[in-house]
Amino acid sequence: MTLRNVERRWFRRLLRLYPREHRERYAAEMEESFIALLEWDQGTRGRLGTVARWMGATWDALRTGTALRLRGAGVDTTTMGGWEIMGTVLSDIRYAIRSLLRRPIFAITAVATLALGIGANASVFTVVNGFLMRPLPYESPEELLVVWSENHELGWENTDVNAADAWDWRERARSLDDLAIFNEDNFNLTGDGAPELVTGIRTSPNILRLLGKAPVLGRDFAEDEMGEGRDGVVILTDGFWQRRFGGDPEVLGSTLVLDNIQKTVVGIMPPDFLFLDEAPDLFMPWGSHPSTANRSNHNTNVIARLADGATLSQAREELAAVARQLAEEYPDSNAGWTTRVVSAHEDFLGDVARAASLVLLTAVSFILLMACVNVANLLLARAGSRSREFAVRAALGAGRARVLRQLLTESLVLAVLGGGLGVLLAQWGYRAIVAALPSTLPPVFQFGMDGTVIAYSLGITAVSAIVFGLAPALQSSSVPMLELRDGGRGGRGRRASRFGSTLVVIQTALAVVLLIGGGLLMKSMAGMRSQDFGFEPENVLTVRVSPPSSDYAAGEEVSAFWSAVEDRVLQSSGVEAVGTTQSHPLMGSNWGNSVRVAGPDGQPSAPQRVRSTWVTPGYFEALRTEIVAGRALTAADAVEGGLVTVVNEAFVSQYIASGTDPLRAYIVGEDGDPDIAIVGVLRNITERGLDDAPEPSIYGHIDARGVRTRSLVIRTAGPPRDVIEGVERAVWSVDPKLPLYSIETMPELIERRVGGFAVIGYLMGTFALMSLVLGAVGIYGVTAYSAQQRTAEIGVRLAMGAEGGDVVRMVVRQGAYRALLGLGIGLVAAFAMGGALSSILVGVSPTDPATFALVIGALSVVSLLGLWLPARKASRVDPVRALSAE
Amino acid sequence: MAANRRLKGHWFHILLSLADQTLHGTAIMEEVLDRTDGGLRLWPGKLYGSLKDLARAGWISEVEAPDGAPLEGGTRKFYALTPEGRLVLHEEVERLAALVRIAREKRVGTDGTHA
Repeated sequence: MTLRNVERRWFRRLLRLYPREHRERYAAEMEESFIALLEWDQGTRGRLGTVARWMGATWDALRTGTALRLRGAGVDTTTMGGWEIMGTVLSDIRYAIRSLLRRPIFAITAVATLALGIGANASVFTVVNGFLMRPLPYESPEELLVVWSENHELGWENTDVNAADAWDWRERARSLDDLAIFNEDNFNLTGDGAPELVTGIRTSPNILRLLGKAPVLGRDFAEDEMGEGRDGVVILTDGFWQRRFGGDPEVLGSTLVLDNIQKTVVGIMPPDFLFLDEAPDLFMPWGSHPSTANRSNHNTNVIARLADGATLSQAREELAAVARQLAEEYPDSNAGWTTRVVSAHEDFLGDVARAASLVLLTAVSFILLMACVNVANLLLARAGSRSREFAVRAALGAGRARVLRQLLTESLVLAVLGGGLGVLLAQWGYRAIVAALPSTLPPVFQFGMDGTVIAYSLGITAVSAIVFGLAPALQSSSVPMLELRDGGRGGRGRRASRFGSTLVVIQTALAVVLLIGGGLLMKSMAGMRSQDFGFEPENVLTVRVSPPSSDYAAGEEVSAFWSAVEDRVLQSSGVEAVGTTQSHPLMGSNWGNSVRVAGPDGQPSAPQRVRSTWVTPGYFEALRTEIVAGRALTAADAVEGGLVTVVNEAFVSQYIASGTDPLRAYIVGEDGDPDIAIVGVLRNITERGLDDAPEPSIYGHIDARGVRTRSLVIRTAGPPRDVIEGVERAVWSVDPKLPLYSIETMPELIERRVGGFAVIGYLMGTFALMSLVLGAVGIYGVTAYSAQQRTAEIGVRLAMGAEGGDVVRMVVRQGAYRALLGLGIGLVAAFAMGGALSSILVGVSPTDPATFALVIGALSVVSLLGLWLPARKASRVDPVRALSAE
Repeated sequence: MAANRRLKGHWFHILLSLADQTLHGTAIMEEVLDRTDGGLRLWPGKLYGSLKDLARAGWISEVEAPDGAPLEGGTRKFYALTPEGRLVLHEEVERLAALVRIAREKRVGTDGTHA
């Protein structure tokens, strides 16, 4: 159990609060009893319980540890009640609040700066917590696995699984407790009410049990409810039950007509049930026995649960071994196929969300650090004006520790105010981030301010107080007696300004890193939107229609239906061109197969992976694609078997030897099928994701395949959404029972794909801007303070005949040296951290010179401004007054 | 230490759990949790601080592990009541019993009429 190890590690840290002698004697036993306490609590409390337990353990360690240490130092703790300590703490807090109220502008500035920093952190952390830390909402979620198929010889990675293979894994692998197969499947729901396309999950009957979930009404599927004639039952999700039936319990036991087949509703899931990375309306058992599946078809998803005591790596090894057995038993279909096993959480999360979480969390903690540096700077400047106060207190007998404690209490009060306000801001902030997240996100990720977030916010608040409070407090409390003696000038100004200069260097470096990160991500996002898609995305509408097999069984019926639909849609007003395809660009589908390619010499290559798209000729016209060689498909190409194909440029560059005319190459027919001629080359179309390299693709005539469910791809004269009504009428004039679904314009699709990256980009952009402001304010503050400290010196220089310009140059030069140092450190850091960004950058190098140059320029201007303004002010000081102040 | 006339609540529970058996620290904590249905949780610091104090007061003492008890690599220390501890516990129980008797006479409690 890794979680327990983490808890043990943290508990050992707490143990340091106890005196060594006590620790040596009891540490092991205390750890054991703490774990026992956690275990005892496990069943009785939820997540808040975790926070409560840790708070309890921390309080316990603080109190007992302190008491034992005091006793060890000879203090009789029995007479010194806790109230006495509380009393001084309370009076410190009262004093701190009073002294903050005396300088409201300072207090408000400091609190607002901290609130921004802590608020931004809590917002981002709430989202990151939802992604990385909250367990999936299933029983023992850490045991859940996702299995994919892979065939490295054929170039297939992360591919869907074969159902028969999966069922063999389930039978043979002992490291698995259970395994379920499932697939998304759409059904036309007819009967009462408008026809509707519902999203179903076809699944083996064990999936809900595997997840540790059960219907709240009715029953789960029985173990044998699967396969031909035994799949006449459905379980509804709560969302669908509420939407379609208003939550009527009478629905249980009634029948639904799905694709013209009657199904009985046997169960209804509870409202809080979320299904993996999809949001289905209902569940239906697998339509055939998995063992009867053709082993060449890879079209199934798999989720599995580890057996008790088994590990992920055991499951990996065992499934790989089973896959090898299957490859021997079924060499024709299974040779080269192996498995890829990942934890379910990791699979749903994906690489981009994980990398983005860490990058954003780092960026936002830099913001907080910059905020702290600014507040430290404010405190330092303020300490200058309070030096007499400390000196008086010291003279009255306050020890250095006492003054230090007072100053830290003030920092803590500032931090708590800032933290409280920040958490309030974050309530709004995290909702804004979540609202902007793409709708394609798996619904199992839920976000909210839970105990973990509150604990984190408390933690960063406390750490901030120390970061910004300690150094100035140490400075201020160090030389109090000096102040009274020499009237408040002398050594301290020097030391404080040296300290302030260090802050400038840190801040400039942080700002450089944030600005470069933000700049790169903004550039990457802009690039995604304006990239060359290989077609013209404006004024394109896509609509999906799914004629059921019960009405359109034969291939000719399907072709006739679609050809009628295409004709009528083309006639409706505002439509310029129309085509159909099994999957349109950016829809996210992943059809593909392996082909062997031969050149004019007739020598076939090894099997190569291609993406296959089936289209009608109008598709190319509707998308306005560009044919770079040969011709596009025509109506005459709709022959059975599809003897001609169009390939894309990626296909040519990767699979056809350079120098060979692609139009003389062909795809080798397998199993006695005729060869397929290549008649044209198409410019690469962005098909899958905006961040994916173009895949070698072939485009064949769809009527050669008899694909039923298709997308209409429509080129419109005006705004695409204006033609929807006409398209509906056109489809319904052919078949009035068919629902139209997934109605989207191409720009909407692109925006949805950019979605997640846009959130990252805008957040990083915001942080970059914040860092620029914080950095400018910081540099200004430090320069102004140090110039003010040097008023007398400047006065002397001016009295000796220096020009105002000389003074400006002197102040600016000294500051510029530090800013340059910060810039250099920041550039090196940004360079070193570029690798972390590479997985979330698309089409931009992490060391993009243009971005680096822009950041250097922008930051130089801002720094110079932050130096020049206070320098100019200093140069205008009246030498007489400056000197008389001394 | 014995000057404490009234026994602290958690000390009483620790002594009580040792009344009829020899236990190690974690077992004491679990016994108290079970007996009070989670009402009294002896956090590690408090538990081992108390065991140290009770041993110093001479009310409990470290003893050999009972036969067959798992030792967890020798880190576990087992405790038993001393005669003096048993006396303190006895006195405390008597004091509590007297309190209950008075309360009952005033018809307060489970079998009284004041709900």
